[in-house]
Parts: sequence; structure tokens; C-alpha cells
Amino acid sequence: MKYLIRLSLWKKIIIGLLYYTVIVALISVFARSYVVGLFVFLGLVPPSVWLAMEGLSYLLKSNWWRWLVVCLLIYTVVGGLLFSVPRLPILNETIRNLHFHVPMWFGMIFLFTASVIQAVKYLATGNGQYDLIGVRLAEVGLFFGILGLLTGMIWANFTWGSPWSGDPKQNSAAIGMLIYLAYFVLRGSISDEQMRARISAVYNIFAFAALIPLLFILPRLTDSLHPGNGGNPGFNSYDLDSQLRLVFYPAVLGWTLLGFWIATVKIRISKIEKTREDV
Amino acid sequence: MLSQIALLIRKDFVIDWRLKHPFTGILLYIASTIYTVYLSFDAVVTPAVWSSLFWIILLFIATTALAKSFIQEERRHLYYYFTIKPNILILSKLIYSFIYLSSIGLFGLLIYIVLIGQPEFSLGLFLANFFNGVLGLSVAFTMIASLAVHTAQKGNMMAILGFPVILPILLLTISNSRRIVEGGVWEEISSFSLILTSVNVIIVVLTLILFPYSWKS
Repeated sequence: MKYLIRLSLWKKIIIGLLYYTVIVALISVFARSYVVGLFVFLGLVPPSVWLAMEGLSYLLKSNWWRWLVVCLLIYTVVGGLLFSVPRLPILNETIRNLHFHVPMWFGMIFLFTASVIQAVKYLATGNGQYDLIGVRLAEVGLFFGILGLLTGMIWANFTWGSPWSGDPKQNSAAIGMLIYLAYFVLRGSISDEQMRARISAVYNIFAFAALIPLLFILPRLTDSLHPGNGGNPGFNSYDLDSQLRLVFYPAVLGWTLLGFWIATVKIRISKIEKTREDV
Repeated sequence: MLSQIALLIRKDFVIDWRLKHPFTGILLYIASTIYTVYLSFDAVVTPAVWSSLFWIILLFIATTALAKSFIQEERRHLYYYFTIKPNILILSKLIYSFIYLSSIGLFGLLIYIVLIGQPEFSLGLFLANFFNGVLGLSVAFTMIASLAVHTAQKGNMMAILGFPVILPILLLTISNSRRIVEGGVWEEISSFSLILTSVNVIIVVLTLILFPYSWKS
């Protein structure tokens, strides 16, 4: 126990993750569907860690990737609307929403994970810079989450007949939004700057841990109306000649990087504002 | 270390025993809530409603009951800061709030069964799920209480911060307890129970890691 207390925060987090993986592995023996969600999440972690650790400072400095984002998004919009898509009952042409709705969730998860990593870095170092970056990332992540909900609701209006059907994924996403709205309320209610940074960083990490089972595990335990769940065909099963993938993967990359672009602009603005306040 | 934990738990117990009014107040709160429910649902309550209603009552009780766990320590803050490690403090708080909330919950369950009636189900299974869910509720709300104590509106913040975090635990607990109340057996809920336990373990581990950071001020 004494040894455990002395470990650095990073090592504790790694131990925590190992712990988490071991437990989940044990459980996966009992419940197969659990594994899928976990692997989706674990697959998303390394790129987000990179984006938050090394990538973000690189993205803040360099410029070429913004041109890449512009190209990717033009390709996504043109290709997503004009390329031929598989003909399916009910879905029909709305299948094109795959390129505009699903990438929002990818963007949100990347941004939230990056924000949590900034919170961990803040707790480890006490440097206010990380707090500032973490908040901006969470703001853009929340914005992407709201866009994801809205695009999903418009789509659901045409395919499921109503914008809100109480689908497990819809509920989980809505609760996720509540968590991050609570995060901003928490920040608003603490006046001391250092205290605000520390308490909100702690809440950010704590709430993120609650968000993971909510987004990746609970929806897979019950039937969902979403394509690919509960007996509905997903795009893996009918997209045999990879027509959708051709646009989908660039779309995920493009929208996610757009999120980080917005975040870098916000980070720069708040850095300038902070410097002006200090002067 | 163990003796320190035992001492801190004993201190919390003695405070509640001597003051009496916080604990009896919470008991009165849960009793009157259940009585209100009894008066407003005069028709037959289906098993599914029965179990959901019980957990929602317990959720609101937990918000109020566990808010005090750090508010009452404000004057002793500095004293603890120099005498004990934060991990020991939080461990004792977690154990105490688990005992506290489960005794309130069991008292509530008794009144609930007396007033609203009891569907046919296996009580042992229900209680196992009850303690599993109460563990999650008590740990999450104790951690949230340690954050909320630093904010301007302590009472509201417990609900605002706590509800979204507690929802995964609560959803699993409610779905488990609905299956049990509708006559389910262990095989039907085993995988959900294990997931609930693992979510609890994650929350306990995170609380132990994160509490020292929210504590120093």
C-alpha cells in the first residue's frame, strides 16, 4: 500500500488500466458482447493519447494539415453525396448519413480522451496551461456530441419515424452530454482559479470513466435500432466492395482533425486572453 | 493503517450516534417519501415499477444522505491534512458511507415492502444486487461530495455532478433488480452483475487515485 501511494500518477493510471483490462477480460468469458465495445475503445485510446501528448503541440505549430482537412472534407461532402451507395430497404439514400453522423462520435471521443489526458497532465504537473487546453478540447468535444445527436435525430426522423425513440445509444449519448454540461457548471461554480482547475480535472477523469461503459458497453448489452445492432445489418455486412469505406474513413479523419483545428484556434484565443489579463 | 481506518470509521459512527438528528432525519425523509409514493400510487404497482421506484427513491436519499460526509469535516480539514494520509481518510469514508447507505436502504426496503407490498421474488438475489448497487451509489456519491464541498452551491452540485456519473451504475442495478423481481434466476443476471461489479471496482480504484488531488487545497 505504501509503495502504491508513492507511485507517480502516470503509473497509477497505467495500473488502473491494467486492472480494468484484467477485470474486463475475466468478464468477457461470461459475456461475449462486452468484448466488442472494449476493443473499440482500446483501439481509440493510442491515437488520442498521441494527439494529446505530442500531436497537439505539433498541430498548434504546423499548418499543412489544415489544407489536408479542407481537402478531406471537400472529398467527404462531394463523395458522400454523389458516389453510389448500396440499395437497402428503409435506409435507402439516408445511408449517406454514415459520413456525417458517425464521424461526429469519433471526433467527440478523440476530443474527450485528449481532454482527459490534459486533465491527468494538469494533476501531475500543476501547470495551468494544461487546464486551459483541456477545457477547450472538452468544449469542442461537447459541440461535436451535440452535432452527432442532431444529425442522428434528423436521420432517425426519416428511418425510425420519430427523432427520439429512446434507443440505448441515443440515451447513452444524451447522458454523456449531461456529464460534460455538469463539468462546465462545476467550473462555473468555483471562483478560485487553481481550485477550479484541480477539482474540474478530477471530475473530468472520474466522469470519463463513467462515460466509457455508457458509450461502449451498455448499448451492446441491449438491442438497438441502429444499423449493425440487434439484428439490423451494419455496413460491414453489405458494403462488400468497400464503396462506403472509401468515403467513411477519410470522413472520420477529416471531421476529427476539424475538431482539433477548432480546438487549436480556441486554445490560441484563450492564451492571448490570458496573457492580456495578466498584463 | 488498519487501526487508523477503524478509528476514523468509529469517529464517524460516534458523531452520528451523538448528534442523532442527521441520521434520524434521513430515516424520516425516506419514510415520508415512501408514504407519499404509497398515497399517490393507489392502484396496483407492477413488479417493474416496484423495483424502479425503489431505486429512484434510494438515489434521491443517497444524494442528500452522503452530501454531509465532507461538509461535516470542514472544520477538521486542516487537522486531517497534517495527521493522516488522504488515502486512509477516503477509504474510511467509503466504508462508512457504504454501511450508512445500506442501513438506510434496508430500513427503506422494509417500509417499502410493508406499505406497497412485495412481488414474488428471491430475496437473497435481490439483496445481493441491492448491496452491489448500494456500493456503487455510496462510492460515487462520496467522491462527488468531496468535489462538491469546494463549490459555491454544495447542495445542488451533488445532484448536478452525481446523476450523470451514477447513471450507468443505476441503469445496470435497475435492470438487474427488474429481472429479479419478475422472477429471474441467477443465470439471467450473472453477466450484468459482473459488469456492475467491475464498474464498481473501477470507480473505487479511481476514487482512491483521484481523492488526494481533490483533497489538498
